[in-house]
Amino acid sequence: MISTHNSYWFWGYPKAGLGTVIVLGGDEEDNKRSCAGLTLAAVHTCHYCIPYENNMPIYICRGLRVCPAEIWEVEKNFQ
Amino acid sequence: MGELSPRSPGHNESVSHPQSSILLILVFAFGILAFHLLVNAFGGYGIFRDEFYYIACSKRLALGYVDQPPLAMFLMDAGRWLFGESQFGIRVLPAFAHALTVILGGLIAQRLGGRKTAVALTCLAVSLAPIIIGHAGIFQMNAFSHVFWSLSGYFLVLIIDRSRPALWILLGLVMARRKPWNIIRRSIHCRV
Repeated sequence: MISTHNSYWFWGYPKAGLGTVIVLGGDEEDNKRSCAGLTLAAVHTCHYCIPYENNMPIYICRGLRVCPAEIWEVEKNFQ
Repeated sequence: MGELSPRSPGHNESVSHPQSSILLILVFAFGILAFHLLVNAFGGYGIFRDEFYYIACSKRLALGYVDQPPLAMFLMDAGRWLFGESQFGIRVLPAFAHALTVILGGLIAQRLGGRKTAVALTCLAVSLAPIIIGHAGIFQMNAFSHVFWSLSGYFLVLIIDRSRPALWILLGLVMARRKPWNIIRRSIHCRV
């Protein structure tokens, strides 16, 4: 599990083996630009969550094109 | 309300039967503890997503995190170790925190001169306050904040009641819990 949110940002990412990742949410077109191959694996629905977290797509991203360091630089999220 | 009128110095009517008030306080404390433990064992909606984050934090213990002070994560680690990594296990300590808050509320009411009715009303209010039930119903640092703020209030009442300067040190220690380096600063500040 890696994330750029709060303390997860400090814990970082693996130095190797990030070729295939599971992506929770995000814009599909953005995700396609970052992956050699993007597959919609599932859509997560929930009755009691806030609306923008309902119907969240879960993608499998193969062949990550973006450098993780670049993601960490841009997506740092402390809130 | 005569029940809640502050007592004058040296007036000991309210503490003439301290055992009965203490027993009453403990009944409420055990009641709310049992409520939380039963709900956590047989009800609830599963582990809340923030709790998964706190579990992750407790597996990387540190003196500080981006979004929280360190004590709660040490408590989460202790809770996982003592009671297991389950919905029930990680929520045992918050349940005790609510019970402790009830005890401190009752002690404050007693120390302010309240008799059994006032003490019972205080304990009932602290037990049933939705915000405290919500905070102690899952693992989060707010459950422990209620304990420390109540303890601060109790020390403050003792300071006013007994006029013991040494209690300012204890008050400073409790209020500085979030940032250990504040201990000395707050203790000194409180005594000025």
